[in-house]
Parts: sequence; structure tokens; C-alpha cells
Amino acid sequence: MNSWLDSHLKDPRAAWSSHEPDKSRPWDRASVAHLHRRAAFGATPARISADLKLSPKMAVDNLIKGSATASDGTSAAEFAKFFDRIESRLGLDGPLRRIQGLWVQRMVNSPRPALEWLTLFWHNHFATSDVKVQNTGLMVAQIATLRRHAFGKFGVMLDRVAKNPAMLVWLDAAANRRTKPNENFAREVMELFTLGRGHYTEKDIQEAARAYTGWFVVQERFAFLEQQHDTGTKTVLGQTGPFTGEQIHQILLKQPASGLFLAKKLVQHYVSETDIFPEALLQPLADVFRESQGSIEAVVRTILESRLFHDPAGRRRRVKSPIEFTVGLCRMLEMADPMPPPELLADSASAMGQGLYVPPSVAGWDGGAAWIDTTRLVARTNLVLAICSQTGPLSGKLKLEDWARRAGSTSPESTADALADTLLADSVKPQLRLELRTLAKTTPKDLRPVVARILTDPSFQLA
Amino acid sequence: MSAHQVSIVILSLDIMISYRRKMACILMVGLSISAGILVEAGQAKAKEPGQESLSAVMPDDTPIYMRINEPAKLFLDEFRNPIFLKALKQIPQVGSQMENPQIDQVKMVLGVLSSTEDLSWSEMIREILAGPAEIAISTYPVKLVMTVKPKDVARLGRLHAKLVEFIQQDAKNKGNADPVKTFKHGVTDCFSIAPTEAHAIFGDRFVFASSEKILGEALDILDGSKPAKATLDKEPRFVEAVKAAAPESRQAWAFARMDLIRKSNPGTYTVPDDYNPLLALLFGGWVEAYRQADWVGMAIDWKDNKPAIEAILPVSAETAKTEVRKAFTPPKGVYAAKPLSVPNQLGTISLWRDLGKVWNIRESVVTGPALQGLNGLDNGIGQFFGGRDFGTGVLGSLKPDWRIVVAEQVAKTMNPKPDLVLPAFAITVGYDVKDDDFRQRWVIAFQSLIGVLNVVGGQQKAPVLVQNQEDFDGAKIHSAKYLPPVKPMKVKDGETKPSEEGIHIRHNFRPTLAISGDHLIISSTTEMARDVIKAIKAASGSDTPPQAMSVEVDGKRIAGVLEINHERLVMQNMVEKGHGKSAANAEIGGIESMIKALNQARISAQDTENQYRVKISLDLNQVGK
Repeated sequence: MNSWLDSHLKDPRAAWSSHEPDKSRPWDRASVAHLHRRAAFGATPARISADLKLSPKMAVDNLIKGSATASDGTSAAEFAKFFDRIESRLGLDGPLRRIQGLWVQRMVNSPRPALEWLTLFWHNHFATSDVKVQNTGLMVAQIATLRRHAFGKFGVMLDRVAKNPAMLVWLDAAANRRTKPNENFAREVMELFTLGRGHYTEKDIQEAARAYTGWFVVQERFAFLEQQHDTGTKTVLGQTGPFTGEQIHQILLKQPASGLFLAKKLVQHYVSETDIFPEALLQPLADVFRESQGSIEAVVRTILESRLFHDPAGRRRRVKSPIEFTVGLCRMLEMADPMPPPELLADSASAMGQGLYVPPSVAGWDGGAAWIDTTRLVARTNLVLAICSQTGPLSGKLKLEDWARRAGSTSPESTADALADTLLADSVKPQLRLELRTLAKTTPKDLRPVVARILTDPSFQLA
Repeated sequence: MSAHQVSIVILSLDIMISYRRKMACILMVGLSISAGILVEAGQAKAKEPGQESLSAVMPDDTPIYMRINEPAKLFLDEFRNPIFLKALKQIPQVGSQMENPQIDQVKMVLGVLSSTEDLSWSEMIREILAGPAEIAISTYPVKLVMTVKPKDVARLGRLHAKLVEFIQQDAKNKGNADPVKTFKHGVTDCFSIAPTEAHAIFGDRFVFASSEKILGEALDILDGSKPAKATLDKEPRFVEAVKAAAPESRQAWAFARMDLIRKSNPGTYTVPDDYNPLLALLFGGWVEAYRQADWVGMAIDWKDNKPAIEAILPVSAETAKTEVRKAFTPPKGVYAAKPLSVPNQLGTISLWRDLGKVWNIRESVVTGPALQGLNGLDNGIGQFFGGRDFGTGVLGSLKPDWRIVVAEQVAKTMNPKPDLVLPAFAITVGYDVKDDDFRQRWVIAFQSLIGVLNVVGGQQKAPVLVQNQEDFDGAKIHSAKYLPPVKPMKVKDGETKPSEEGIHIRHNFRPTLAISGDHLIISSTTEMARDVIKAIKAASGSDTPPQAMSVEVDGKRIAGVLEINHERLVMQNMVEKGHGKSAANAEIGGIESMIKALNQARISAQDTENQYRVKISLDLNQVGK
């Protein structure tokens, strides 16, 4: 058993109860940075200072609701509307890297980074790849659906995603005929989307597949062709009736395993991807899921406000994904407008192993240690060097003088400190701090080497 | 010297000297400048030392030479013309430089300086840049010598002395060291305010060089103490270029020895072997001429707000004999057809090109993967034409009178209106009307292609094309149109607000093949095909002189198309460059304004036995109207 989880396992309900800061676990800059790092790609010094004045609960509330305005000064609603329009327009006929870049740009500039962070989670959960779909318009529409329901009711999202044309094409279910039910689709719904392995039988899959008959994609739209639907009686997970696809979803979500399955995946996303969370520790979250009628927001709030989440021992137990790394450094260094060309950032993330819209399989990305093999680490370093370079298409967007002024830094050394505190928080070791200050003294008018040193430090690769 | 080159000079100075020195330097350069330069090329008569054209004294291996006959007229009358400035301001980078407060400071200093001679600053510049101005540049390393003849050299001397005094006094007031270095070269007083600048007044002209050493060398040449063994004006290539361009009748003229430039920096100014194969097939003759050319001439004519720039490439006797040359050049007395004119026209191109012959020499103009691609095209397209050989059987059966028209699609009449409204285009070319099999093959090829597109579209669950046929004005039109998008299906517990969806770019296209008399028309829309049928019958078109190619572009209308798609272009700019919305808006708006400012642009090309000439002409008179 993991030592840091042991204490929480003694009382799982207490582990997920609201964190009340005290002397041993203060609400300090490191805590705020941890919250933003885990739920919103990281925070600027100003945001950390602002949240420090709030309670953890209020900080989480603000994080989920997002800021009132985007980095360009437009209201959050206007920002969302404009980007929705961009994505629906350029996604229609743009190349893959264009929609990849658009999403990166949205993540960097969004006043609701927590929403983008969770949408990215759902993209991995409902992993669909344009490599097979070959239709960027459908891919963008799917992400829009995920974003729309990211914090909503899981049941509604499941219905929407299951009828999403990209998903149906991806799972070879674009023509689900009565005479040939698509078992693959039914299997993935149970195995990957709702229950996980071991909680259904082959018979359940075969019967559920009949319920999905009549689901088609016609001219890029979902279509229900009634004459192709099997109206007969089906028995799925012990329940019998002339079920439709939507009704199958309701049956699946009533299974105790579904709450545990989703709780586990959300905990892996927000808390730790390396630790093993026993069912007993997840059960309180599954209960929240059930009691809230499948509210994703309720589960996420519970996690982010919890004592377990704010346990300092739980920090840096995740390897940052390439997108997390890329978007995070842009947001924390306030490279938003202008930002490095988004398409190039998306290319870099792809080189690091995470191409948006092209997860490697239905199971999504492996994550964890797989993000930092030798090749991928080199790709991370290359991005950092390109951003910190004097020339090249990714250079020139890092305005450290402006950043230092906003951070209240008064000297190269204090800027180096501020950069370390913002980007590395409590993981910055005294020796590294000394090294950074020395570096700042060496090149006082150009602190890009300091930034490069921080971003390539092992601790910056962890969340 | 072009404005761009002037910018380069100033930017170079920018890099090399401090702000204050730069100000002084700009003034110095401004005194001679703005760059233009030189002498009466090839026309040097016996003159006193220091009075000859720069071309008559510079060595014959000078790779770049430029002259502006009346720099004051060009820079003060034409460049400063409000119409041109307005157009120039539309270019974001240039526009921001024009707003640079340093320009006002320079004007202020010029004003003070000119007042010492009871002149306005513009009168002073007009006197100093009376001309001609000449520049000679050696490359690798760069050596620049510029001379300009003022109207009154004595006045120039006084102004220069006053300027030096200003600079020295300013430095003294600020407790700085004297930034002006003075030195003698022979009996000539020389000055320098930066390591990369040195100047002197010599004879009847102001001489500016890119270092003290180079100034010294230039003065030695000018005063005849160390004359060049052979001078540029006697160099056969230079003589040929002068003969071709008649520089004395041009406002500005430039000459470049490509043989020397390429030799001194191999790999530069060459065309890669694997350049765009389509461009190779269309313009490979020019590219080959450029590859072979050992000189290039460039002339600027600017009258009545109609700037024009002409490039001249020589064709050597050896090149003239090649099959490539023959394939791309029309026989003597044969020209491109009259350009077509259609409603809402954005541009029209007429080009003489015997693609059958060009296809046969493709291995000479295209290499590598592009050549493989073309060979693949040979096999692939050949199948659509019943096994005809693509070169001889398809391209060889077409006449050389290629005409292309591009026109705006009227967005409000489009149903559905795509999110990005693209222009429509059509290509038309003649064919042997007696070859009935050929006509039939085109129809079959078109229908087959639509079938292939539908198969691919069907696999991707995308809309398919529906084919149609119609008779129009005696012509047969074969067309296809995408099915309109279906509305999203409502779901039971549906979302109250369906996601916003645009209309796919594909709805810009209604691929069409039309056959009208002895003309084939391939068009992106059926409407455009109908317009072209009418245009051919009406034999309409602008009255242009005989030439191998003509291109006419309506900048104002193109800007209109960009404006229609403004939001979309802003979006693309944001994701491509990382701009915020306001920055993207500004950049796209600037491009739109700049294109609008171009108004009518015309490109014409002439192929003669020993030269290629390409001329781009603009009409700025309609800017803002």
C-alpha cells in the first residue's frame, strides 16, 4: 500500500471531506499552485495571490466557474462564442493541425482553463481519432459536445457522445443494421465508457448491440432509421425489455460499477496516476456520483476540495502530459496574446506523444511514465529551447520584462525567484534556486536561460 | 535603389550604430539618399575626374549597379504622393514604421538645417537629390558606394558643415565624445559617424561608402589615381543590358551580374530542381532563362500615379536553340489570345503555351518526386481518356491558347452559402473540333472523376455530388453539385441550443465541364462556365498589345472578396500566428487595404528571340475610390 494513502484509507469519507487549512497543512502559495496545476494547467503569480485570499472551497468554485473575462479582455461568454464559431468554421474543412492548433490556442487563452482541462480528460476517456474518422469537422463537433457536457450529467454526455458521428465512424458503427448489430460499439460503451472490464458478459454485449440498431451516420449527421432498429426484447445486466440505445445507457449508469469506474478515472486525472486507489477509498466518490444523479461537477468538486487532494504528500504524483506541459508553460508565462503559433505548439505536443484528436487507440493515451521516454523528453527540451531562442517561429513571445513587472519583481534575481516559485512552486530545491539566481546575475538583461533551465528541470515535468 | 533597399541601408545602420549616431547617419544618407543612385550608364563622355558616371569608373566585375535619374522627383514627388503613401501605410510593417516618431525628429532637424539656407526641408532635399544618383555594390563581403549629384555642390558643403556642427554640439551638450570622425584622403576631407559609414564631397557629388576603407578606394577610382583596368560601362553584359533597357529614359534602373553573384555565393539565387511542377509546366521557360541568365535588368517607370516595374532576362544563343526554349516560346508573330472578361471578374490570364510540347520536355524542367508525380499523372489521367497517351493524345490535342478567369461568387445568391466564399474560376482552351472522340473522352473523364469523388465521399459519410447536363447558348454543359447539408436530427432529451455549424467549403464548388464550339471549359462552378461561354462568343476582352502572356488583376474586387471572408481570415491568422483577435483583425484589415490600394494591376510578358521581359504595372489613381 502507498504510505501517503494509508492514512486516508483509514477513513475514506474523511479523506474526501472538505479540506480545512491548518498549521500543518496551510493554504499557501504551494497549495494554490497545486490546485491550478492539477485542474487548470497552472497559474500566474497574480492568480495565485488572488486565490490565496480565498478559502480553498471558494478557490475551487472560482476555478470551475472560470474568470469573467478572457486574456484579451472579452467576456467569457463572448470568448466561448467566438471560439465555438472558429472551431465550427475552420474545423469544417481545415487540416488536422489547424484544429489541433485551435484547441491549443483555446486552452492557452480560455478564461475557463478548468473546463478545457476536463474536456481534455473526456477526449482521452471517449478517445476518438481523426486518423480513422478523417473528418475534422466531425472531430471538432465531438470535442464541442464533450466541452458542453464536461461538468454536466454524465448520462446526458454519454447519450450525446454515443450518437456523435465521429464516435460512430470511429467504432465502425456508422451503419448499425438490425440484421447485423455492431457488438464492437456496445462493448466499448461498457468496457471503456461506463463499467470497465469484468462487469458485464458477452451476452450483455450482444443484447445491448441490438438496442443500438438503427443508429446510422448519413451525410455527416446522426440518423435513427426506425426500420433498421431491432424492436424485440433484450436482456441486459439482468433487466429485460424492448430497449433502445438510450435506455441501455440508463441501465449501465445504474450499475454500482459505473460510479466506481468514473471515480477511479477522475482520481487518476486529478490526484495520481501512479498510486492504486482501493475500491473502499473510491466508494465515497461513487456515492457522490450516484446521489447527484451522475453530476460530474459534484465529483470533481469533491475531489478538488478534499483533504486527500490537498495532502502535500500527494503533489507531483502525475507526469504532465505534453498538452499539459505545453499549455501550462504558455499560461504560467503569460504567453497568450500573442502566443507562439498554436499550430506549431500542437506539432510540438504531437512530437512529445500527444497529438490532439489523434489518440493512439480506443483506450486513449498510456500516460504516466510513457510521456517521458528519451525521445519525448528531447521533444520537450526542443520546445523549450525554441520558445527561449532568439530566432525561429516559436521565439519572441516570451516577454519576461512584462512578466516580471506584473509579478512585482524588482531585480533579475527576484525575477528568477518568481519564475521558480510560479513554475516549480514548492519543488524548487535550494541548490536550484541558487543556480537560477547565479544564472540571472550572469545574464541580467536576458532571463530566457533561467526560464529554459526551469522548464527543463525534472520537477517541471511533474504535476 | 528601391524603397526596400533604402530600408535595408537604414536598418543596417540601425544595427550598427547608436540612436544618436543613427539619427545623424539617417540625415547623411537622407542628404544623398534615399538611396538611389548613379550615373549615366554607358553614356559616359569625356569628363573631368570626379564627374564621370559611376559605371564609367567602377571595375567591370562590379556585380550590382543602380541608378536613379531624378531621385528628388522619385522620392519627393512619387513616393511622397498621398496616394502612394496611403497604399504604403496599408502594409502593417511599413505602416508602423511610417508612424515612427523618429521620422518627425528627422524632419525637425532637416527643417532647422534647411532654414540656415532659407529653404524648406523639402526644397533642400530636392536640391541635394537633384541627381542622378548611382550605387555600386560588391557582394560577399558587401561593399557599397553611392554617389549623388546635388544641384549646388557649394550649398551641399555648407549644409554638411552645419549638420556636422549640430551633431558635435549635441554630443558636447550631453557630455559625450565627438561622434564625427574626420580624416583626409588625399586632399579630400572625409567624415565618418559609424564604422559602417563614411562620406565625402568630391567634385560635383556627394560620395557615401560603407566604410572608411571603401570610401578611400572609391575616391581613388573617382579621382583617377587608381583607375580600374576595365570599367563596368565597357563590360559586354552591361552594354547589352543598357541597350535592352535604355536606362536614360527610365526613372530608375538596376543591373545585376548573376554570374558573379552566383559564383561568390553558390546556392543563392538559384531555383531548386523540385519546384512546383505546375509552375514548371507553365513558366518553366522563364525559370530556365533565369537559371541560364548571367545578368538581370530591372527598370522602374513611374508616371501619373502608374508605377511599373519591368524585369529583363537575356536569352543566350545556346539557350535559344534548346527544346525547352522552343516549347515555351510562341513562334514568331504568334501571341496569346485576347484575355476573356466575365462579370465580377477578379483576374484574367491569357497565356500561349503548347503543353503537348512542354510535356515532352518535362524531364528538363521538373525533377525528382515532382517528375514521378507527373509520370503518374500520365498513367492515371490516360485511363480516363480511354488509354490515350497523356502527352500526345490529351495535351497534344489541345491548342496553345490557354485562358483563365477568376471571378467573385455573389455570396447572397449562393444556397447554401459556404462559410468561406471562394472565388470561382475557369480554364478554357481550344481543341480540334473534328476530333469527336476527344470531345467524348473529356465527357467520360469528367463523369468518371465525379464517380471517384463520390466513392471517396461515401466512405467518409460525406455528401455526394449529383450530376446534371444542360444545353446553354449552343454549348453542352456537364456539371455536378453537392447535396445540401441536412439539418441535425433532434434528439428526445435534446439540447435546447444546437451547436453552431457552418457550411462546408465544398459548397463553393459545382464542378463543370462545358464544350462550346472548339473550346473546352473546365470550371469550378456552372455559373462561371456559362459566363465563359458568353465571353468566348462575344470575343470580349481588354485591348492589350500582342504578348506571350497577360495577367490583369482587380485589386479592389479581390479586397472585396477578402472582406467578405474577413472573420474567417482573422480566425486563420490567429491559429497560424498566435495573434489575439485584435492583432489578427489589424493584420488582415491591412492586407485587405493594401490589395484594395493596388486597384488595377497588369502583368504582361514578352518573349523575343533574345530576351524575356515581364512587366508589372499598377494604377494607383483609383485608390480610396
